[in-house]
Amino acid sequence: MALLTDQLLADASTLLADQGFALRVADLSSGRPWLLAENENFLIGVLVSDEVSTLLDEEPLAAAALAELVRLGQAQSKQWDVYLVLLATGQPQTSEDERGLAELQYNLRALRRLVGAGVRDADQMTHALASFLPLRKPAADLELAALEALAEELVVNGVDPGVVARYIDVFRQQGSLDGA
Amino acid sequence: MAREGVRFRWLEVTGFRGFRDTAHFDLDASAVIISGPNGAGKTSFCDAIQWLLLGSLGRFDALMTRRDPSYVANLYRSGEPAIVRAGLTLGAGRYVEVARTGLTSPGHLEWREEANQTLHGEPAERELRGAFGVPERVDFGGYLLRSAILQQDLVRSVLEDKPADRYRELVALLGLDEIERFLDAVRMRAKTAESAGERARQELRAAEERALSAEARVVELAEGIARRPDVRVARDALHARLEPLRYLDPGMVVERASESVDAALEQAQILGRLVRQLVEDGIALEGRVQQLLPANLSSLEAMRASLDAREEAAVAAQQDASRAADALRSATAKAEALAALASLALPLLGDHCPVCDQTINESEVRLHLRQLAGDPADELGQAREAADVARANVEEAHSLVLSQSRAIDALEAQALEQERLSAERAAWQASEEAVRLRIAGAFGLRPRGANPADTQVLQEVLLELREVWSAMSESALSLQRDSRERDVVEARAQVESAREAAVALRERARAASVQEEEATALLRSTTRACTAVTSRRSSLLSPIVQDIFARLDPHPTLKDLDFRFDVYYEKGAARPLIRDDAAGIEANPILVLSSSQANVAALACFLALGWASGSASAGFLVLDDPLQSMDDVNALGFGDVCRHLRTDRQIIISTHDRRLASLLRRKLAPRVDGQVTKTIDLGSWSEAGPIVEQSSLESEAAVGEARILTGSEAA
Repeated sequence: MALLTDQLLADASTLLADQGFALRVADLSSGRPWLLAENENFLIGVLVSDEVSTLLDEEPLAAAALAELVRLGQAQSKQWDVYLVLLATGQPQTSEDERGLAELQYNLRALRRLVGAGVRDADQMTHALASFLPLRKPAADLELAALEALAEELVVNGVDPGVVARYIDVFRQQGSLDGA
Repeated sequence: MAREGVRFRWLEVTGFRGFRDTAHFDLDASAVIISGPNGAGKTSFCDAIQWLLLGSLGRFDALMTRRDPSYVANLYRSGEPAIVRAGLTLGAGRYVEVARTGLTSPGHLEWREEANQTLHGEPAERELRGAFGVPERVDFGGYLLRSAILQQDLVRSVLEDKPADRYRELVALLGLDEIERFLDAVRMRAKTAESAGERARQELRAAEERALSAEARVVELAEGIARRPDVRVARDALHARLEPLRYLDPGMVVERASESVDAALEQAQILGRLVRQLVEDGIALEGRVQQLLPANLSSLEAMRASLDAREEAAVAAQQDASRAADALRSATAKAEALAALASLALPLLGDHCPVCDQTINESEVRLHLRQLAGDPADELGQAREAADVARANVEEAHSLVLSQSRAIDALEAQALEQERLSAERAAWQASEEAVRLRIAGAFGLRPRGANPADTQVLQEVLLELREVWSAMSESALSLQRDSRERDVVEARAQVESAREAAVALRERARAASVQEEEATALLRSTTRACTAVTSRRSSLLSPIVQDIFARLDPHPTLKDLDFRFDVYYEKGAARPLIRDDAAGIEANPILVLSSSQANVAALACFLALGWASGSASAGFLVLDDPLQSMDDVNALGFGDVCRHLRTDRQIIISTHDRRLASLLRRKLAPRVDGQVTKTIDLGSWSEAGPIVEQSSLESEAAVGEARILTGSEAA
């Protein structure tokens, strides 16, 4: 399982580096490696563990370390931009786990905590780190020719291609299907 | 080169809603934060932008009345129009100034661009719309309110709209109007084909009914023909009816077997009409005869002789009267002469005679004079009586003459009427004779001979004629009912024609049904295809919606927000869904989220739709107090989202929440060179409007540059 958490941490590094974040991988006092990242807006710590319970146990260590980092760096202007991202590859096992995660999410002491459970691949990591990444752009140009797309769909649905072409032509010429 | 969208450089508001006096706002920044307590004018500010661009304020549409402009013009400016002006950058170095003036919607728009003619009214509206690059077919207001201007009260409309309305909005946003218009055309064609099919089927049904009706008539006529009696039988029947009548010879039957039923019918009808007229004339004649008193013409001569005698007596009486009048005139003259003498003599007399001195008595003198004149008074009286008697005689004589003359006139008129009736009777008898001869000739009967001239048999003749008339009518009816050979031919032709028409119409109805089925099938296919294309195109939008929703993160487990597209009653529908993928749960966000959570979901949709529509048209986002009732976590997420939005949009956000305003100032403070953030504080509202304080946030580029993870520590 350690392999998965390492891989996820590597995915996070790649994602944030691609967006111009400065990165540093450090170890918590528990010995668990975590990722620190910073750009002009954010200072982020990313901690990934297998179990939610472990995550809950190590959160105070990470939060304290991150707060200390802010204090030492005298970056008070970023005090509202410090985030601790707490991710577990597994799901909550107990109600305590669930309650613990919910409480963390609304715990704004010193920094904001973003939590996620069941994070197991790069896509889910991207989702977890979305707040620090640029907003997604539409995957394709929304102005693409709509009628061509419709014509293709009609043909796929079994309408005769000749009929489709004829109707589309008539519609383009006169804006209606009168006489088609 | 990518097209740049419209952005605000400044805004000036005068006499609009909460602003009585002119307020000028510097908006030349990528982020503008407007803060102030409730009622300070934040919404008026956002409304000013909306009214300037659209000429309306959608949320007041339901309340708008022509006579109440108070929702646009400031209440304390007593009827003066509102004015909203702005400087806009359109990209590519274009800068324009627009102004809208008016007491109510839509007001008057002015478009002023350096080096170009200033435009007013509709051309200015077109130019403004053109600057946004919104196609004519797309609702400009809907477009802006869906993706650029978030009205405070309507934030959740995207979730609460009807599925079909939301579908249309998303279709427009996704640039798929054209396929919707194609779908409308297909729908119209299907409707037309359905109507044409129904019409063709109706015409076919009508033709088939006509054919059936004609066939039934043929059958009926054929049955009538089968029942039809021989013309000879009909003639014999009529003959049997006529033969007993008194003026037709019995047994004198002339065979006319070759005569057709139709000819017989026609003849019977003509003769029937003649007999009927004859009867009517005879009845009228009879009535007049009965009313006429018999005239005693033999007394006429005696009456005339008597009249002559009376006229002679009248002449004699007239002569007597003339003489009496002469006598009366003579007596009158004599009396008048005596009176004149007396009137002259009496005044000359004294009381005593001058000779004998005897006393003179005037009345004795007067009496003596009258005796000397032969007593003219008696003579005059007699003459008068004689004259009166003579006049009375004359009047009586004239009266006798007159009464006799009248009696003679009446008798002569009676005699004249008798002559006229005699002539009419003779004419009627001639007609009757002629008709009788025609009847006899037509039906092979010979007349018995001339009708007796005795007018007393008129009644009897009329009775007979009535009988003849009745018999002929019955015979005509009988012949008519069964005389339908021509009708049969015509009905058969109609059957043939209706059958041929039905064949043609059946083919037409079949073709129309085929077209109808094709059109309906095409409509079904197109509806499905449109929904599929829209759904596919919306899949481009889904990641953006989910991305922003995740950043705002309003719910601990329902993390995904999306729209599901399907076909409902042959119309596209789009329903919002919120999901917990791990638990496999999904629901309508409006139904399961709290009010504030639903607001966040709606805000995510709005921001996603605006972001997905690109910055090429509206390069700005106006958000009027979007975070009401949100918690700190949502607010932080929203601040971070705004940070990203400003990289591609000018964002103008208002809030009443000081903490949020403070957070936004931190989150949106310029962190890189070139970023500008302006703040507008609205406060202390009075009749003049709010007190406006404006400033620019200091650049925190240095903060952005300073890294905690620096030097060798950075990876």
